[in-house]
Amino acid sequence: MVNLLSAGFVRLRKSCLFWGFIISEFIWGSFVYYLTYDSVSAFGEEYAITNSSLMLFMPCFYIGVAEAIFCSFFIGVEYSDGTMRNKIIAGCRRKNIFLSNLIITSVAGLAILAAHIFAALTVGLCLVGDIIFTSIDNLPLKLIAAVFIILGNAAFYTLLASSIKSKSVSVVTGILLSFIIIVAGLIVTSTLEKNEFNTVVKFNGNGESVTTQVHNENYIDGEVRTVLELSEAMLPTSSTLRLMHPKEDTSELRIILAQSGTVLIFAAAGILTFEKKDIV
Amino acid sequence: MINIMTACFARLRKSLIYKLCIIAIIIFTAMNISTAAKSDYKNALDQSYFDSGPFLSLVVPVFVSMFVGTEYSDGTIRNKLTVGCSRTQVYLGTLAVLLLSSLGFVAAWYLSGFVGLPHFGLWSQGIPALLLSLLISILFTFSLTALFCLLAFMITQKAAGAVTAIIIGLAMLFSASFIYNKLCEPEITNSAYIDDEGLHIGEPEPNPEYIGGTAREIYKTVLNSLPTGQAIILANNGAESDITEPITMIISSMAEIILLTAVGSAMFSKKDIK
Repeated sequence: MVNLLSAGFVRLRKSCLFWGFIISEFIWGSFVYYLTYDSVSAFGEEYAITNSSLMLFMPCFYIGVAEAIFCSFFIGVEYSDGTMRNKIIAGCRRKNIFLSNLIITSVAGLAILAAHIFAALTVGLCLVGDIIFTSIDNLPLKLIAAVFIILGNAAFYTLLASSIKSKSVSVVTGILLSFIIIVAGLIVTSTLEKNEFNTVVKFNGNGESVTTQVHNENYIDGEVRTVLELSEAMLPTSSTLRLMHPKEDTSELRIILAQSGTVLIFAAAGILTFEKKDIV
Repeated sequence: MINIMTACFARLRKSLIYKLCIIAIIIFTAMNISTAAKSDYKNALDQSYFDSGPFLSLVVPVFVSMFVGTEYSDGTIRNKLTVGCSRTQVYLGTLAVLLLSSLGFVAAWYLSGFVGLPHFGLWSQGIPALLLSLLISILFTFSLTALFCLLAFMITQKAAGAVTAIIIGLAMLFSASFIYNKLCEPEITNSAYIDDEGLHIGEPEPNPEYIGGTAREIYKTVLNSLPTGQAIILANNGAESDITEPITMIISSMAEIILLTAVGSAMFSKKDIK
């Protein structure tokens, strides 16, 4: 296992794709905080206070796309170059091969988040000030939740890349799935956020407006709501939306528990699938 | 040339990814129109019939990059050159088959949209406008195909080609969407808010986000020239919008197809395919 990890980290260190993601994320993070500075200058500090969570946890929302590309290339090369077969011939257990790949892809995902946080610590602190951190409630717990969201993504895309031998098929499937997960997260969150009652404004005969509360027909409740709430907790994108736009009922612990469950499920599924995979 | 096209058609007929792309378009269109049928806000088929256009900017790069990428990875392109086919013939033959296959995507989109007929009835815009939309759809799909064919022929590695194509397709879609949203900003806005005393509507004010003058003309030309821009205009019921310029759309698509084919053919002639 230690040898597999050492070999994997050497490859990671030399991976152009990995460094490309790190540098891009730092540049993008810096740009985001520059835009925030611009908006704070125009609208005041209230803008930074309202959007601080969104800006800090933004990478967790699209990390799936980066993980899909990175895992497909990183693990796909092992298949196409025959490294995977060599590892098995050299006596490495399949479980260890999968777990070492999972650890490396998780580290890569966490490094991308770290690059964004580094941009916040440098550009963000210099331009906007410490308000970008101090205005976020439960910051340590939210950061742990963000870490688990990334681990969940890494587990899913490592499972996918380990199951598909063709690098191109794996990368296309991964990217498309990552976008489907993003759209699914948006749909689930927006469905759950629909109000139970809508405010309706009507004008009476005197031209005065009268506001009344009307039950929203599109409000979901009962068993469907329970299923949607479970999906929201399990989907990394909808969990990220909860971190980015925290509500009164947002529970970081719930996100951590749900995402750790996701990691365990995908890691177990990955080990089982990879154990039985025909590696020709 | 005929032999190359016959071979490509044989591959196309057996291509799993092509069938999956067609199925994805059919499912997307049918689901979208079924959702619109349940919606309170959409009451004409036209309002959701063209929504699959932007989806093609994701399907076309996936299919084209995988189709051409396989020719590189399996060594088929080298074999074709070895047996005496010229590079121009290989490029044009493959592009011709890809263009015809993209017609299949448009057909899948338009035919699967018929699921909305029982609920909405016929198209409210009339048959001539529908045919114009069909022509624009075919041309922007051809334009996308020509672009991604050029890209796929330039990148020898199948996986890298697929990733690059998908990212470029998405970037084109997002940039077109950004331009469209900018153009849709109203010139005058009214602020409104509700408090305990009811609804209050403020004085009309000029919208600082509105784009006017020469910049608006440039934005409109760019949007109407981009294949993804044309798809977004159609999807947003473009026939009724002042942003729509059908003549610009048709001419720019045709110019793009010719230009991209010429550039692609010239670049492939000089490419080192090892």
